[in-house]
Amino acid sequence: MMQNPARQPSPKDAVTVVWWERKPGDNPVIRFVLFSVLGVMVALTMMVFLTGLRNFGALTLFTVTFAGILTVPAVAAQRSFTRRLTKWINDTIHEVTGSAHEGLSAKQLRHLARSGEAFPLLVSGTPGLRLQVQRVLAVEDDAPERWRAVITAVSPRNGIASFDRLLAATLSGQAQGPTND
Amino acid sequence: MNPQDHVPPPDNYAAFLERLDDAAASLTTRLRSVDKALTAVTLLLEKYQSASLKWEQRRARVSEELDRHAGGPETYAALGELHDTAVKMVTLHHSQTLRIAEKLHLMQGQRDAIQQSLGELGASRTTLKTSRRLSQDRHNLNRALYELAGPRGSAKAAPDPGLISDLRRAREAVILAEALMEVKGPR
Repeated sequence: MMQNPARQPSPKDAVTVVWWERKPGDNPVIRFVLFSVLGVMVALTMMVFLTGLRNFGALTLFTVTFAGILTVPAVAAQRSFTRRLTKWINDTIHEVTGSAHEGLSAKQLRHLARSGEAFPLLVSGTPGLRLQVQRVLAVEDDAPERWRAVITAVSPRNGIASFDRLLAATLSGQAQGPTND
Repeated sequence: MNPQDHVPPPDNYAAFLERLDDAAASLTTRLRSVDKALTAVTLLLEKYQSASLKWEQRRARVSEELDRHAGGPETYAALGELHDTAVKMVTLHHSQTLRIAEKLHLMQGQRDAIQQSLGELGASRTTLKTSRRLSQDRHNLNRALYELAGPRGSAKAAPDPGLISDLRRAREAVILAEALMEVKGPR
C-alpha cells in the first residue's frame, strides 16, 4: 500500500514522492487463474453429487463465473489504489508546475512504470525536473515488488563541454578560423 | 420552560469539529505535496546555480585569454565570439535561476501559510472541545437542578458568551483554511 517515503531513503538528486508495494497476489490476472483452478476443483466435486453437471459446458461456465465473481473485488481494489496513487502524484506535480492542468492519467502512470520513461516537468517554464516511476530492487527473492515515484533534477543541457572543446581548439590551433557550432 | 432550550444542541459543536477536521486533513495533504515540490524545486535551483557558476568561470577565462591575446586577428575574432556566447549563457542561466528562486520563494510563503493555518485550526479545535465540555457540564447541572426543584427552581440558563466567540473564531479559522485550499491557479 501507499506509504510516505520517510522510511525509504531518497537517491541523490531525487525526491521520492511516494512509494508503494505490490504483492504478486494482488494482480487480478493471477487471482483469476488461481480461482479458476479452485473453481474446477469445486465443479468436479459437485459433479460427484449432481449428475446434471457432468458435461464440459457446465464445467466451463461454472469455473468462469466462479473465478469472475471472486476476482471482481481485486479489480476494484486495484482501480481505487491506482486512482489514489495518481492523485497523490498529481498533487505534487501541480505544486511543482503551478498549473492544475498538467498531470498524469492512470494510464500514463502505468506506461511510465512499464517503460521507465521520464515525464518532464516545467517549473515556471524552466525544464530540468523529471518524474520517473522506478522499481526498487529487493534483496530477497520473495519480497513484494516495491515501486517508487521520484522527481529527479537533471542539469540543464548547457553545452559546457562543447564550449570547452571549442575554446581549446581556438587556443591551440592559432591558425584555425572561428568554428561555428 | 425547559433548560434544554437555552443550551445549543451538541450537533452544533460536532458539525463544526467535523469541518475543522476536514479542513485540517486536506491542509495536511496539501502541505505534504508542497513539501515534496519544495524539495524538488530546490534541487533544480541547485543545478541551475551550479551551471550559472560554471558559465561565469568560462566567461572569466575567455575574457582573460582575450586580454593577453597576442595571436592573429582570426583567433581574436574566434575568442570574441566565444566570449559573446559565454556572456549570453551567463545571462540566460542567471535569469532562469532568478525565476526558479522566485517560484521557490512563493512556495515557501505558501508552506508557511498552510502551517500557520494548521496551527490555528488545531488551536480552534482545542478551544471548541473545551467549551463543548463546559457547555455539557452546564447543561447537566441545569438538568439536575430542574429535576430536583421542578420547573420553578430552574435558573434561567444564560447563553454562555464564551461559546459564541469560540464558534466565531473557529468559523474564521475554517474559512481561512478553506480559502487557502482553494488558492490554485497561478502562484
